[in-house]
Order: sequence, then structure tokens, then C-alpha cells
Amino acid sequence: MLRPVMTWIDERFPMSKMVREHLTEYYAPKNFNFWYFFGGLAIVVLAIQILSGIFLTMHYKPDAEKAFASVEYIMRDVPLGWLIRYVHSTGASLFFVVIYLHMFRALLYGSYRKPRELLWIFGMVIYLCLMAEAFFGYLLPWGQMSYWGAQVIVNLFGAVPLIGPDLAVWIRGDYVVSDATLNRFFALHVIAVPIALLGLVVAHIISLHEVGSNNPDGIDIKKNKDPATGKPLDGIPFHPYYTVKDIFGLVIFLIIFASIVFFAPEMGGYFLEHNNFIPADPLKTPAHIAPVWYFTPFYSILRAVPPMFGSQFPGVLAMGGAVVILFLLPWLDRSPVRSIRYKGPLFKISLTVFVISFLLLGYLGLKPTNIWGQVGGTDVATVVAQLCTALYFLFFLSLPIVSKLDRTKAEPDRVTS
Amino acid sequence: MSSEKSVNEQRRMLVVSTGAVGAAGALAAVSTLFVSMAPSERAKAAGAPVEVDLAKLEPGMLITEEWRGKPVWILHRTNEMLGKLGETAALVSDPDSKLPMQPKYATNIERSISQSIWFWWVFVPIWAALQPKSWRLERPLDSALIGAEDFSVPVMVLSSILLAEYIRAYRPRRISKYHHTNFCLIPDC
Repeated sequence: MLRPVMTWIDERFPMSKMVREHLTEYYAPKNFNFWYFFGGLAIVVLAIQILSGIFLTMHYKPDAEKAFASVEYIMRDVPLGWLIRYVHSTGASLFFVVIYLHMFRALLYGSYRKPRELLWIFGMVIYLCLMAEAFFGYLLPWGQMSYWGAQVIVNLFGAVPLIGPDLAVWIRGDYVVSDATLNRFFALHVIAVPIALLGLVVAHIISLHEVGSNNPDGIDIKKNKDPATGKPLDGIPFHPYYTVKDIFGLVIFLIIFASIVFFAPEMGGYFLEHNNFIPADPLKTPAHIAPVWYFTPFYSILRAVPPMFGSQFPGVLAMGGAVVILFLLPWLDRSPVRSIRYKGPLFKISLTVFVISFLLLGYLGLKPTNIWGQVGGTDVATVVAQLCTALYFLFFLSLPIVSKLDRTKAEPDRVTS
Repeated sequence: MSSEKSVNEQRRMLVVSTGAVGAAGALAAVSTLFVSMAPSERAKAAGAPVEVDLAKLEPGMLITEEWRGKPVWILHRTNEMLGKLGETAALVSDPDSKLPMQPKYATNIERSISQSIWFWWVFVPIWAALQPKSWRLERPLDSALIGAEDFSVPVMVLSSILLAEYIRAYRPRRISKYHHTNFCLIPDC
């Protein structure tokens, strides 16, 4: 019954061929661990965001006069509107949780190393798009934090020498964050960036399947092929082995997701900031403007760099540099081995310091700079943030030397465990 | 068959130049989309000069105007207030207006471009998110210090900083012309 249908399709579209290449005959290393859940989870979250987003746009009004009220309308009057909105807002935060863990996996196991440089770059561009998507989306509820957060970020572009002020006006479409800004951010959030994201995800997966997946041992499974079949001895077909395993991970993830949606959708003000339940008021600046948690490490870096020559631009550069430097990772790491399992103590210390700095920066970015009091007229938190910023960059800048000097262990021939 | 010989140089040149012209055309077409993102005529009109009748401002009075979505405070300072600025200096983190967000022409204790118009004080009381710690007021000032009971709020602003962007657009040189009558808040009026 099904076979003739498949044959009919296959003669017109490479259906079976694609299923074979990407699922049933895509050989993934058999030693994937916990860290390998997050790529698949990211795709699921993307699907959740697109789906919930479509249904939110059916009720949302991208108009400065109506936006805030339309979100409240979704929350109170639209049947199950509250659920769809909380799924979307929770999904936004969890998207970043998943992506940060996914990126950390690459750091652990050297997944960005040759021949996966382009795979890493596609991933980084996806991360950039995701940040843009989150930023545009955050303006839409038109609450106080939406408004002033957007104000702060757009003003960063205003700090660019020479063209800055004009650039900021062009981005806003007005001299101030206004209806024009809201309308264009809506367009970018619901059409432009999602299309780019989908295309990039396809490119990311195609390049992954071209070079093959890395694994916790960081060794190449294509080196050991079964002479008879030509299939990697340490590889197992993605389907059914990893589809089933990923479904298990997905169930755990969805339990966490649903728990947040139903029991703590605001997550104590971290997923949905308290101030954002107040409509945007251009004449009233909130006492403390903090971005959502996933931007705070970079926001901290921005604040940590003092203005120079009467300009905030150095801080803006440092913040941009903190993201851009990640792109260079494949060429900064010169270790003879990929995985942290066979790297030496230098790299392990370096990575630990980096992670602690990143988390500290993230924490400090949520808080006012005077949170830890002052010593000698200087905010302690600012000094700590400056130190962490230095350590953040030091991780990357020292990597070529660290990875060369480090005492690595010999990689095994075949994957372990 | 040698591929080198099969290349028709003239045809290749035509293909390349057609491609280049096409690319330029496509770029020109796309550029219209970017131009469309500039402020619309309506936005420009809404951001046009605001006229304020200063005659109605009694000495010591503060009014709030809105300009380009920002509050603009205009304070008619009295001699007494100006005279007491020195006394509050210790309480203000930047008494001489040295920090970069101040306009260059107003780096003095009065934060004023010239003494002839220093009674009019125009400023944007917006907290700039990225201001360094030192720009913030350590504790609220005592309103009595400047000799006017109702000025507890404006006094706070002695240390608050003018929004740089606004200041760039605002050139008080023009004000003197309209001294004691009207003045505008943007350059070309």
C-alpha cells in the first residue's frame, strides 16, 4: 500500500534518499552523552516558538497605542491565550538555556575544530539571529522594560562615531523609540529573522551531516570503518537510536518547560520582568534598567568598560567583541586533541575560569552596580565585572598559547564507553 | 577539447558586465527598502521645534515640555538660586559640569552658555542607563540649600545628566535671540 506511494514520490522527489542520508543511514558516534541532547532540543524549541508565535500574532496589535492592551487581552480574554503567551515567553528563555548549553558542549569537546569550522560559524550566526529575535520580540509587549531596554540598546548604536546618531534614528524610524520602532521590530520579529533562522538551521544541519557529528572523545569515527559495509564501526544510525534517545531527553525537557509555564511563568522576574507589567512611559525612566538574563553577561561587559574620550563607544566595542571573538574559536584553539577528556590541566583551568567569569558577568548584569557596596568610592561590583571582562577575553586570547603549551593525553583509537 | 580555447572572451566579458550592471540595479532597488526605514514625514513633523513662551514663567518656576518623546524641564532660575549654587557643590558629584554628557559650552557651575541667559535652564531629566556611578547623586539635596522650598525635584537634577543625544541637537546659541520671549529646542529655528 505504502510502497507504491513512496515509489511514486521517489521518482519525483528524493524522499527516501533524504531519509536515508539524514536519518536511517546517518551514522552518529555511539558515545553521545547528556550534552548531545541540546541540538535536537533547540530545534524543538524553535518549532514551539514559531507555532506559539503564529497564534499570538492572531491577537496581538503592533501599535504603540494598542500593543500593551492587546497583550493583556491575550492574557485575559483570548481562550487559552495566557497559555500560548506563557509558552512563548518561557520558550524564549529556555531557547537561550538550550543554546548556551549546546555551545558549551562545543567548548568541552572541541566540536568547532576542523573540519567543523563552518558548522560552528553557522551556529554562531544562528546565535546572533537569536539575540536579534529576542531583542525585537521583547519590545512588542510595550511595557516599561520593553521600552527602556530598547532605548538603551538602540542608543548603543548612537555611540558609534560619526554615523551613530543618524544610525540610531534610522533604526528607530523616529527620534525616540515609538510606534514606528514597534511596527518595524514586529516585522523583523515575525518575518525577517525567523526566515533567516530557519535557513541557517538548515545550513547548520546540512554542514553537520556533511562532516559528521563530533563526540565526547573528539575523535573521528570515519577512520574506523567496517571493511565490508564501509560504515563507521563506532557509528550507529541516527534513526532509530538517537531519535529514541532524544525523545527521552525531550520528555524530561518538556516536563521542565511545562512546570515553568504552569507554576512560575515569570520565574521571579527573570523570564518576565516585573516592570514590564507597567505600560511603556517615555517620560518616566525606571530606576533600574536591566536586560533579560540571557543578555546580561554582555551587558555587564558594556557597563564594565568606562567611557573614554567622552564616548561610550569603547564599551560598545567590547560588548560586540565579546560575541565576535567566539567566531574565531576554531582558529584560536591549536590543541592536538579536540576533547577536554584528553586536554591538559591548563585548558581545564582556563575553561573553568571562563565559565565562572561568564556566570558572574551574567549575575552582575542583572543587578545595579552598587550591589556589593563601595570601596574607596568605586563600586565593588564594577571592579569585579572589569576583572571578569578581562578574564573573558583572556580565555580566547590565551587559547593559542594555552592549547599549545598544555600537556595533552593521547587520544584513543576508538570511542570509549 | 581544451576548455581554454572554448572560452569566448567577448561573450564572457558581456556576461560579466551584464552581471555587474544587474547587481548594481538590484542593489539600487534594495536600497529603497532601507531608505523607507528613515523617519517618516509624520515623525519628522512630530519632532519639529517646540515653542515655549518664556514670558509666562515666573522667576523660580519650572515647567515640563515634551520634545521628541522626552520630558524637557525649563527652570527660571532666580538670582538667589544661582547665588547658592556654590553651597550645593559639595553635594553634587559633578558641580562644574566636567563630565562628557554635558555640552562643551556649559562646563561651568551654572551649566549655562553665557551669563546673559543663565536664568533659563533647559534640561532633559532622563536617567541615562549607562551613566557611570559618579554621576549619580549620593543623597537627596536639601531644598532649603538653594533657597526655594518647591525645588526639591529640580535640585536633584543638578547632578543628573542631560541626555547626550538631546544636547547635540540643542544649540542654545539661538536662545539669546529669543531671550525672555520664545525659544525653540532644535537647531534650525
